[in-house]
Amino acid sequence: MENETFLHEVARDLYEKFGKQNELSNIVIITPSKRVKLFINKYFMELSGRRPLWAPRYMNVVHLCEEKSSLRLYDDEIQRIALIWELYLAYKTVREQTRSLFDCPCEVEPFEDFYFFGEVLLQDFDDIDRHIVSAEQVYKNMADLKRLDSLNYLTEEQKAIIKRFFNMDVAEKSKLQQNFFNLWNILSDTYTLFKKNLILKNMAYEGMLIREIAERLTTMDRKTRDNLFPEKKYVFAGFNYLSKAEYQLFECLKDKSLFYWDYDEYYMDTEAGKYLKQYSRLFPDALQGHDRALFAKDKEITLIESANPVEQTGYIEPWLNTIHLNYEQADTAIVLGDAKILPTVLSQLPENLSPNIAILYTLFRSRIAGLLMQLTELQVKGVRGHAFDFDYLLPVLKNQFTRHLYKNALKDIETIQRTKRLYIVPNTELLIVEDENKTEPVRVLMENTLFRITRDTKELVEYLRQFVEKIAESRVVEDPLEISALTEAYKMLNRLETIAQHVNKKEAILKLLKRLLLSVKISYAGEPAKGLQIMGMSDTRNIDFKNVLLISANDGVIPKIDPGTSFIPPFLRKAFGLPTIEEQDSMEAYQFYRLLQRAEHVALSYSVGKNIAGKGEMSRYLRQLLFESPHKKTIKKITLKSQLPSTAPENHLEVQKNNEMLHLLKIKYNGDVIENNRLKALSPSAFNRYIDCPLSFYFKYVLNINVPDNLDTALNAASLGSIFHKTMEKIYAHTGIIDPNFLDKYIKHEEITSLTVRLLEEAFVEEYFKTPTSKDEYDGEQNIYFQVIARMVRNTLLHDRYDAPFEILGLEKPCYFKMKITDDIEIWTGGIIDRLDKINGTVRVIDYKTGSVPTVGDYAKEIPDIFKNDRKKKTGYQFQTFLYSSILSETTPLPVVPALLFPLAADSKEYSPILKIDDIEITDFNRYKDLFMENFKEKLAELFNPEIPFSPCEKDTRCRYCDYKNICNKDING
Amino acid sequence: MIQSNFLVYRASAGSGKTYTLAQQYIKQLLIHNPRTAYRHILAVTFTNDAAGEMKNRILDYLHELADDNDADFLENLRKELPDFMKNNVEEIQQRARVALQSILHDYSNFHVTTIDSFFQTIARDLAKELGIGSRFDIEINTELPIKDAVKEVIENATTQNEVLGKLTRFVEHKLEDDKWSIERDLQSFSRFIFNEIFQKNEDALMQQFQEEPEKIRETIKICKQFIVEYETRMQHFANCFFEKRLPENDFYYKGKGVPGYFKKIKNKEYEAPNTYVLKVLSGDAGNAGDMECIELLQAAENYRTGDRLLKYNTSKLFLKFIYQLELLKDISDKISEQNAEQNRFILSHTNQLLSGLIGDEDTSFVYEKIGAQIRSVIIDEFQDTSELQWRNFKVLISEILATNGFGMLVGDVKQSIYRWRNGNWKILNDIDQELKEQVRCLSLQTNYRSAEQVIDFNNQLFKQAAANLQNNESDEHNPFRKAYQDVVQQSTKKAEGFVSVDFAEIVKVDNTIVQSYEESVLEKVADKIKLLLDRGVKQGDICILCRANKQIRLIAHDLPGIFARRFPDCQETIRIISEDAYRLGSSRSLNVLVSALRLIHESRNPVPAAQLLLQWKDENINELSLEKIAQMTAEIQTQQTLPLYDLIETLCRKFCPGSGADVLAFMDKLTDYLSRNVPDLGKFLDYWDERLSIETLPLPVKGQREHILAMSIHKSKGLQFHTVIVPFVDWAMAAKSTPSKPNVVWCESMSKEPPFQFPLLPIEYSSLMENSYFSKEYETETHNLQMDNLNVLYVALTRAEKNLLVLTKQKPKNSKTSNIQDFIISYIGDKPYEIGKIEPHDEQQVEEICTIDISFHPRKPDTTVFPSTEAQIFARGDNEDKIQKVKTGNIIHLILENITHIENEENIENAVKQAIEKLIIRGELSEAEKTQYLEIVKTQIANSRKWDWFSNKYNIHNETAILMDDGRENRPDRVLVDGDGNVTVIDYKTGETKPGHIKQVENYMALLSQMQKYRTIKGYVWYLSENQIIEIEADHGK
Repeated sequence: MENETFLHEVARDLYEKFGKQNELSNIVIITPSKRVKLFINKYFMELSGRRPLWAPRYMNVVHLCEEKSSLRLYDDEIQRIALIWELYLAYKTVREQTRSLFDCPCEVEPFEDFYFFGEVLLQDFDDIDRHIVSAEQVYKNMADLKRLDSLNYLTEEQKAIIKRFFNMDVAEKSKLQQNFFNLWNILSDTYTLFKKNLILKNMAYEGMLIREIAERLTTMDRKTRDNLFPEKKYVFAGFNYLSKAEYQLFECLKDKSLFYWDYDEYYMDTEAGKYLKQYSRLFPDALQGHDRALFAKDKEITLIESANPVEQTGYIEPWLNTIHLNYEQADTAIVLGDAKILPTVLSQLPENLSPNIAILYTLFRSRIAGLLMQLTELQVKGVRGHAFDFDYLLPVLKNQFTRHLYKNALKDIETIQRTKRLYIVPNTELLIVEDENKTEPVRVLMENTLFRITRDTKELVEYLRQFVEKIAESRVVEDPLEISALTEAYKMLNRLETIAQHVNKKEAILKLLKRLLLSVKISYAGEPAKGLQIMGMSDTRNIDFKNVLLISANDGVIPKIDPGTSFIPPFLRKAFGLPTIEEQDSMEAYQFYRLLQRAEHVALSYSVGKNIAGKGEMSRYLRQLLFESPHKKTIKKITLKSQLPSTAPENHLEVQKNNEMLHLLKIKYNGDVIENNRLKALSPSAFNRYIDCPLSFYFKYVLNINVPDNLDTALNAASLGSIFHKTMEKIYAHTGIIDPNFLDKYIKHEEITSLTVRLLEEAFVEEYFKTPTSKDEYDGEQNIYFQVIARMVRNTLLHDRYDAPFEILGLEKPCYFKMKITDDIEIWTGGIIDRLDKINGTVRVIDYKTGSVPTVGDYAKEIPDIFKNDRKKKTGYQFQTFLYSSILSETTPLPVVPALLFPLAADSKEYSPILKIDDIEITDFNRYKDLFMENFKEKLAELFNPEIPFSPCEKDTRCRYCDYKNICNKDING
Repeated sequence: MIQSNFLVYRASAGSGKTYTLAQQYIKQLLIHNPRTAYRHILAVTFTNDAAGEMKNRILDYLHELADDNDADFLENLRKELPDFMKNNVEEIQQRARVALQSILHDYSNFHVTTIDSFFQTIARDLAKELGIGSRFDIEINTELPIKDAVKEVIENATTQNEVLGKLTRFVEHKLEDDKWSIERDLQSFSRFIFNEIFQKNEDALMQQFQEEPEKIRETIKICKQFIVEYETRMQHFANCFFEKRLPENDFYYKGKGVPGYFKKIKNKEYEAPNTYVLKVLSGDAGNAGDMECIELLQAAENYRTGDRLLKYNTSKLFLKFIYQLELLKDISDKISEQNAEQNRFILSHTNQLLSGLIGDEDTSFVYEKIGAQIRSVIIDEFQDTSELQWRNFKVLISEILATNGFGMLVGDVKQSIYRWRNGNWKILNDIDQELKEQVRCLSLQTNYRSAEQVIDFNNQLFKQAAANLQNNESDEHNPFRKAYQDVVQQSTKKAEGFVSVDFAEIVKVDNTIVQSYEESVLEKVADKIKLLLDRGVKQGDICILCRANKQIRLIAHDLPGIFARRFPDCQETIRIISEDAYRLGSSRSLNVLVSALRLIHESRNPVPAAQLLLQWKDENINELSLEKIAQMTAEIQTQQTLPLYDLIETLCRKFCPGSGADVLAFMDKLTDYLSRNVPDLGKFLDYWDERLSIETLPLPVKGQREHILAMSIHKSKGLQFHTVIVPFVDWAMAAKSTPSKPNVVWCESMSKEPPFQFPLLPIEYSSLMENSYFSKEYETETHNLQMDNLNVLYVALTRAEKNLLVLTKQKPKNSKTSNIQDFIISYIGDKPYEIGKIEPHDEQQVEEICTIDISFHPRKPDTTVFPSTEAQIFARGDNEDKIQKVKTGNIIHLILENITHIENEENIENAVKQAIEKLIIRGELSEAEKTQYLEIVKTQIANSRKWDWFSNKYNIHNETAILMDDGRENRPDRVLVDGDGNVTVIDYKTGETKPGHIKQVENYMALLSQMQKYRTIKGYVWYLSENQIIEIEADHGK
């Protein structure tokens, strides 16, 4: 690198002053960034000629203060839980003391609802302390002019705004204002009580600690100070904006400190240099006379535009090809504005590059976070009595961690799906570990932890924590980042456990857990300082690179626009010297320009795609570069172009029949195959499928591709149908004469009797729950379905009452027939008739259809129409009933009448289930039998005709719910 | 009187709206303090694109002004400037420079944004006061929240709560309809939760439900009774008639006359009688038929009509949606509950929330709270503003008006096509009435976009169309005419242009359809394209605009084939791109990728495996077999233990290496998904099915497009194209109401006849409504629908720069419904129309953009990442040791590390306690383990008799690092230096004794000796769990 890096300048100077005598351990180097250490140490060793040295201590300002305080610092996200809890307690106390102020005086929101506001409040208190401001003054209702005048540091304009803001007539306040002021008025007391409690417990947040030390220092005599700060020198390097407390600290330690500032003349008059300009005068730089005009020197700057954030990563490889990377010097960095795309960045790197990563990454993205969420959802939402709801259990069983700990997981899923069980009681025959190895910790875990239903929040958190512990012990995790994640998760749960007992609802734990997982960060250590550096924007602090690729240089990302994290209005913040968006802008601007000042090859990429987070706009700094930088004439612009997708071709798939297929079909239905004690026959539904779509017939009945039912607890049309059928079967279980007296047992005054209700409940258990379930355990959907089916049963019985008496000839009655198609092809066809009864001297073939009621147009008008492939929607039902009727007509002397009973429509007297041909109800199917069979045979002959391929259906409307639509890849959307 | 500074611009299509906006904005900067003026101007528009465009234009023009590069802009601006500045070009430049610089360096205060994100900022800031969490995810989609809420409302309905009752009533009502799907129907109706009229009346409605819980029930009962009564009576008339069994021929006009009337009644259709029946009734029909029948007819007609009919229809309409309405509050509450639970904030709620809480005097409070001092406001696309938005803005605007501050509302009523999204064009239309002379209304008259003939055609067509819009009010107050009063535009006469209108019809031979209407249209379109290509238009110049997505799909799929068939000799093949083709779900690569994922998720499902075989392995479908499917399944299953992101990348490597925009977009969505959701494959697949697969890649609308573009009219708003073809101009004014898309008019009903007095009722827009208590609302809605449709047509026909081609359809004879083509036919007649000549492709140079082709090549990440030592200890332990032991050892290690000094033996406990406290804070130790470790460590230190290692007599390097030659630090656990320069190094160890431990201490000793600073060097290994101390001999350290 041609330009000496800032840290090298610092290291060189310090080595001159201390390193030569091996006295670096007598100094403390205080920097805003942790990573600085790596680089400075490396430079020290280069300077010492590789002689071992005692290292200096490195710290940030807060840790320096912690060292000097009796209070313990709570500074990371995990420890923050404890702080917010304390804050909540204080807030609650104060709220309860000031009940009368609020709308609903007795209710203080529960902790989990407070949490988010607590974060904001804590941030505000931290700011107040860092800037040594009186909380009492800030949180005062400053409508009172006199009080305002006493604040003589306010400008007239500020006073005017404050007056206007607070001086609104109380009576006319809108609800919004009322809400604001109610809270505002108790915050000062909350602050006081909160801090009092913290001190009692020896706890502190960052601002509190710095304030304590800064305030103590200003009143201390020199000797006390030197006792407290015994080191030879305090080295402050690379700072930018200072809080008031930090400023006081600098001031008090000035005579035993060295200051190193990193700035460039180019931006000293803009927001980026606003503070450095001031500080570098007040705390003169320990190094003098080096070049401060690096930014304006020749640089190559390229702006890259991409369609979406991830697409930017496509530029990494081409970029690396344009620069020269010095592996030892770590002079090249890919800087991520948004850590989210890190995984893609890593996978888009050329091979053998050994990148070095220093970035904070949210715990939420780790695998363990996924499991924790799944487990919590299971415990919070997926528990019904003593059983788990399969919908919530499934993701847990599928999770790779669970599967590692519980080897039966997949087997259990299989069993559950096969037996269609929806609610699973743990430690019965499922969810139990084989009893072979009782001593193993994992075994104990399984019995006591995994399949335990937790009762309260405390148990829930404990359960999660134990889980993490066991995973760690089982050593299933290999990935270093995941190992860190596991540790952080464990620590987080330890913390959460202490609070959990105060949280009442399990739902709240789910909420808190997600919030915490999102805010807890895992850090990549990024050692040693070699190779291609991949880092977050804030990790670049103080470090210089020759080549920089900055990804996601979008406005809103760089700089971040993060409003709304304070409850104190901006004008008040400004009036009291608390940081506002301006300070934030300034710091980020500095960070950006500093990163560029020594660099030689700079590539800045941004995306224009619409996205909720980024606005698809280039960063303001890029605009600044384009409009006013000395490099504006030489900036290169590149647009990334990726290949547009090739659309999946719309296949018109056709399957040519071959002998093998036909043979298989032939023997499948020739009567030799017995399945479930029944003869294998070509069912009406199979044949209907053939008519509707020969290709899907091929998939299902020739290839035998069967799509398994997805087991979930949601009821569907199929379960509705089977429960209804079962109920009717139970009612008419004993074949015989059905007369009004018989029916009176089941239906009275047009409503079903308790006996019927009981049978229906039984049917629900047998066909759906598969485990004894009483009516009050039903959820809403089950309740509604119950009502619906009850209604269908009622309608059917009502209808039967009009018809009674009649004789039930059979329920679920098999009905088969061997059909000769050609000389060498004979197949069995037929199926099960729902109900066969005898009425008025006719035999009725009845099939129940629980779906929606067809209109006249849904059926075929004439027999041949039934076999056309553009037939109407419900013609398949007709076919089925006609087929049974044809078969029965052969053997029954009585006239056979085909009927389709739609319980949904059956409640009126006029309703007739009898099917029609040419708009006339069929009174004897014999009339149509021959024509029907002839057409049927013809169509079957087509099925076995090797010349005619299995082709897909023409009507796209059928495809929407087709199991095989993805194979055909038909475009049926919209 | 002072002229108002508040401008209302009516800007017709192509009239240079953005230019004017930028100009006015810049003017404000220049005439005020250019250093700060921008801070006080809020400029909002509706889409991100438009906001971005506005921002860019303002900054670009400022830049040009500052550098004196755009004479035209300067000239036009000068006309607007006050005299003192007008002629001082240098001053203008100087001010522009200052303004630009100030904005760029204080960009957070440059308020050019979308209306949504502006209100979001406010909502975010007022989160606590509004009662929402302060950190939330914005949800722009409303369907998913509704779906989840409906699901949960249903799931939670138990016999103990009221909801079950409501749901059961709803289901029972649906059962009467014979068709039902609780979830789907409730979902589609629940969309209205986000309808502003509903939102506005929600509280009143719910209050009524609460105060008079029986009112709905009773009204339902009354309606049902009345319907039965009415139908029975009418049925009775019909029955009486048909019992007579009179031959139809006996009647005037036979079956079409009186018998037809009764047939309808039998079918429960109670429409007004036709002319034949009317004639019979009035006695004008000569041979009317049987006298008794005529009396019957009179009786029936007497009963049918009048208030009874109105009441009957109203009852029917009331019952249609009342059950859903009852449930709406429950669903809406559930959505709020889930919002809180998921930290989600639904964008569509913003306006309501704010308007509910903002009082009339609140602006200063709200704006000052967020720290913006807004003194001027610019609203673009004002015709799309909703009432609530306007309400929220109005507080601010009144303040501006009161101080004669600057304001600007820009819009075009004619381009208002978002009524269904709460847009209310009447606000703009009536703004002059509302704000009177407080505002200055201006109109941009010149169309800079289109060629002369196109402008001319539209001028005439829409002028006449507006005149034809029916409305009872006099011309003066006719809002539609007012909306279209500025439709006539001037032309810049840059080019002549071309317009044609043609017809396409169903082709029938002997009453059988030989060519469908769609086929005819496509053929015509193909012919037009051929014509255009022959006249020098390029494919990239053409855009085809359709109203419905399925038409776009039809064009994208079938047009190329039809073109090739019709013009086999044509050199060119037609290439069409549409948003649909850019759907992620249409991508071949992604389909393969997703089927692999699906296969992993549902290993028992053979379909994805078959799909992979066909689409990835290019297997012939005839060769498919269960064995191959099993093989494929096995091949994929090996991946299944990978975490979701790695899994998908791994699959990308396998199935779609080096792919382009589609896979990159997919990865982007995945990244976004994973930042908010738990990585669960099943849920992600659902997310793909429901959301991702229908998302689209951005279409290349300008630049180097080489394809014909097919897109929807709605999406084309704000865009322009060289040549525009608009086929399928044939749509009906009102879409048919279906359960999945209910066509609802929300009617305020408090003043209606009893029992229909409700604050608000959802009424289905249907012919029943015409003869009900809601007839006036019916009329209004009919007019609004006409306006909506005319506006859509206006947007479609004003997109063309040079050539405009329209395909429409003749109206069927006796058609009662009104259709969009009525407007066109009434202007051009029913013959094809053509004027001007086709303008060829513009050879203008497009700005050269430097591009780099990239693709997605995921590799297996190869990183040197180390977890922190602490993490290693936690998760790995020492491989040869028992887990618990290691953990104990490590904790002890950590405790010792945190002890610097122990003053004397009595003080051991205290020192250990303090150190343990630190670990607890960091979460490394739980409260419960505290005492256990206190005892262990205390005993260890005491027993080791080495507490003096912690005494004050040493200078202690506790975990101080020694820098080594590779720059890495070496960290002996404890180094003690006494006053004489003797040094002791101690390392803590856990687990078994190992030679390596000694080696390590020897190593430390060597480093210390290389420092050449110390007199003697001693070394120890302290085995913590066994509490054993081994001294290392000094000479080893040399």
